[in-house]
Amino acid sequence: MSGAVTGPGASLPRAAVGLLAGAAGGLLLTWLRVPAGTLVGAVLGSAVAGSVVRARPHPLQRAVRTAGLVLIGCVSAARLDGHSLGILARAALPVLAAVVLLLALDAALARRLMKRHRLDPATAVLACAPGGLSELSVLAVKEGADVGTVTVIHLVRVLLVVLVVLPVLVLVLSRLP
Amino acid sequence: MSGVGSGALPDLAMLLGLACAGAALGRLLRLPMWPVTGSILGAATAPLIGAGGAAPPGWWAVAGQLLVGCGVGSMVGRDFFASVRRVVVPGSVVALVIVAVGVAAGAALAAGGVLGPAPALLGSIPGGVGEMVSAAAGLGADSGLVAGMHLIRLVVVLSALPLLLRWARRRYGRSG
Repeated sequence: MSGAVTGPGASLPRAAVGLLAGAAGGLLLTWLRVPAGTLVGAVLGSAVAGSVVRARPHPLQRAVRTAGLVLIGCVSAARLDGHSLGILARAALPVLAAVVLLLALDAALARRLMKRHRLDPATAVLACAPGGLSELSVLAVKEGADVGTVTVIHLVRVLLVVLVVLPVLVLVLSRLP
Repeated sequence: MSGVGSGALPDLAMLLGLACAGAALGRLLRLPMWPVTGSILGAATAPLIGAGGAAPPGWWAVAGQLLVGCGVGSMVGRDFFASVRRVVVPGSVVALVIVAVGVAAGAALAAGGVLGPAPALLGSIPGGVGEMVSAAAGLGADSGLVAGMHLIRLVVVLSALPLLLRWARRRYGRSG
């Protein structure tokens, strides 16, 4: 990603067009109830509009992204209460072990993507990481990885979980005594 | 856990303030992905100072995702859509393996008696945190516990990724 040739003031209207188109895309896919549609619609909307108006990097984009991550962190933390924290503390080690297993899998899958599909290390590692779609997309921009590759692989993962795995799990779990 | 959107305005303002303070501190301490890890840690201190129980309204999550999506989308290059076409097939294989291992880990936690089947499975599968938490609530399972498991995954993964990236770049070079 190259730096802005003109000053931030000159690139503000184009950056704003990209951001507004992202908001429209996100709201549209949310309204259509597409899984992960808010994030994906916003990425697609601003990517399309940004390339049409040839938007340049602007500090506003970083600020918008940071504000969104703080809001997501806030919402995530608010879901915890004292009782859940107690159970979580007792189960912390096995839960951590499962996360470490997923990280080892990340390394193995990333190695395969690098060898067979010639992805660069940052793109491969981030594409296989068991993290959140929002956070990994941001990290991909920060690390200079291929954002399209990282986003699409995580989108497939989320769609697989939401559309296939979760309905099956709910069906099975609701029949358990 | 109280219902979504049931928080009083002062409690919600306090929650957001703590999240912002946590993010600022995270930036100062150079936490990996400080906007999200810092805000999680900051907001998690709310019960300690008597401001717990505030449940952000549903639109906060939507707004957060919109802002992140707009910020990311506006910074991607023109080759974004070409990349999407190129990696759909290998990406599906990667996604399938990650989800399968998540299911296996959850089944092991349940079989070992560490957690009940619902929180063990819904908390271990990496994908769609909001959907997993909602499904747990719908099944009458501990949705806070499920959220907590995903929080642990998120914080650990985001903290470990810089190390993994350094390892991969050292071993395979910057361009692979």
